[in-house]
Amino acid sequence: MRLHRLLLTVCLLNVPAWGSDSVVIPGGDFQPPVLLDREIQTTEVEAFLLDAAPVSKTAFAEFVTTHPEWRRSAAPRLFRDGGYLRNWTSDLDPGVEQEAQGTPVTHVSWYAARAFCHSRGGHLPSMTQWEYVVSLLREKNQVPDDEYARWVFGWYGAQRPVDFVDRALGIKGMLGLVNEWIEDYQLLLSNGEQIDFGGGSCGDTARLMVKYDNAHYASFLRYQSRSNYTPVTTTSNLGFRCAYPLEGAL
Amino acid sequence: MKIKSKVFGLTATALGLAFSAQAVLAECDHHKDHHDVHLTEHHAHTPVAMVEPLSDESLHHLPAVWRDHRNEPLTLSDLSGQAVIITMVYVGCQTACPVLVEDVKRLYYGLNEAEQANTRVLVVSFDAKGDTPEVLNTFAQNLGGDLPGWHFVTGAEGDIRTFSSLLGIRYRQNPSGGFDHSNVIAVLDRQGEIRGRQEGLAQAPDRLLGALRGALN
Repeated sequence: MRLHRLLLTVCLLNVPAWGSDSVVIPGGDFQPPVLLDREIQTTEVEAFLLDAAPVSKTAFAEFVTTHPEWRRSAAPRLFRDGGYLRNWTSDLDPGVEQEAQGTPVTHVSWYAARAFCHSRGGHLPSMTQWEYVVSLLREKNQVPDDEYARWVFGWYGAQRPVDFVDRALGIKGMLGLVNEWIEDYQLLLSNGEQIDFGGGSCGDTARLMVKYDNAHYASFLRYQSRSNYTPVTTTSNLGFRCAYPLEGAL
Repeated sequence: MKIKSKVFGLTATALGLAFSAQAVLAECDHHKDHHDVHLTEHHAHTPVAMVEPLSDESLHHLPAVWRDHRNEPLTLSDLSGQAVIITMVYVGCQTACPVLVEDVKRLYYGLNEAEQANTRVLVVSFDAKGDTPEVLNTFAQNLGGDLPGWHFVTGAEGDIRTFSSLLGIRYRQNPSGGFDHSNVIAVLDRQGEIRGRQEGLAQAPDRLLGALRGALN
């Protein structure tokens, strides 16, 4: 019992915090590029903390070390498809020797991503939070709309890495190498009494775009393709980062 | 049923011990044998000897602890060995939700008494904030759903989203405070795997009744 208590104490001290690797996202108004509610043109977003970079393979390896139920040999199929951590060399080894330490983890399901963030006292960003940060990045770095559209289309088309350095918030990725899980990735649109589950039909969702220019099409493509994932989906270009409430941190 | 209630009596005392051990296992154990760790974690609160390992697709893997309209805790693995009828609603919902509960009742009353005795009903609320056990209790009573083996439950927001995702139910809180959601009734077999799933309201119960009978036999 004493040993258990000791271990428990060590564990509690060992809980990783958000630490210095997250940035404060200032609150503000967000104008969604796709209107999920016809009447709502602007959403107010409260300030929150966001991981500066996507969760790395190294960080995820630490997570599965302390959470054996999420190792690829143990996690039930209920929570992940057959590709889960497929490119790892073993249960605990992501095989990143040759790669940079910060290589984002991919081949993770939505369930696994959420469990990771939860273990750090955070959560996956909501769609509003994530897309709001993209709008801030574009605004604060003065990214021309067409350039933004080119990046996004390039990524979906040829998986072209985006050569974008954020000089305003200190955010890495998001418009770069990997796409990211969010908490409410599935579209569900409402128009008064009518509810539309946006079940993969682009025509349905596209009518709710605010404007029909390149930049809006690019954002819409992200909304729609993200909505087509299932929660067990794992792919080589889908990772995640975590968000945290600002209150607990300050 | 008798055995079940005895086990529940033990649960309260075992829970405290199980919890600290569980935390250590979950956080620190670098055990090679993941499978044992896994089972221990998810079944710590039901000290029934688990002979069969959980199947890969069993919803009993879900560790969430719910609270039902009788203010009793409930975990999906508590329903092991029984068929389960599931739907998701919220109390503030005027139109679809009472119909969904009616559909579930029709399904349940389509079973004979012996089958009913081996079937549980789980109605999970979308509204973590508004639908307290007390609110759910009134709702259950008003709809004639406060029956033995029926549980109208609430839980943590994240657990509600996990649960809905496992059943392929989409929902979103709308600006007026209500929830837009898909209307789904699902049937779990005794091992916790989904045996039947139906979308839409007021459908003929035959198909799900068949799934339920298949799950029971």
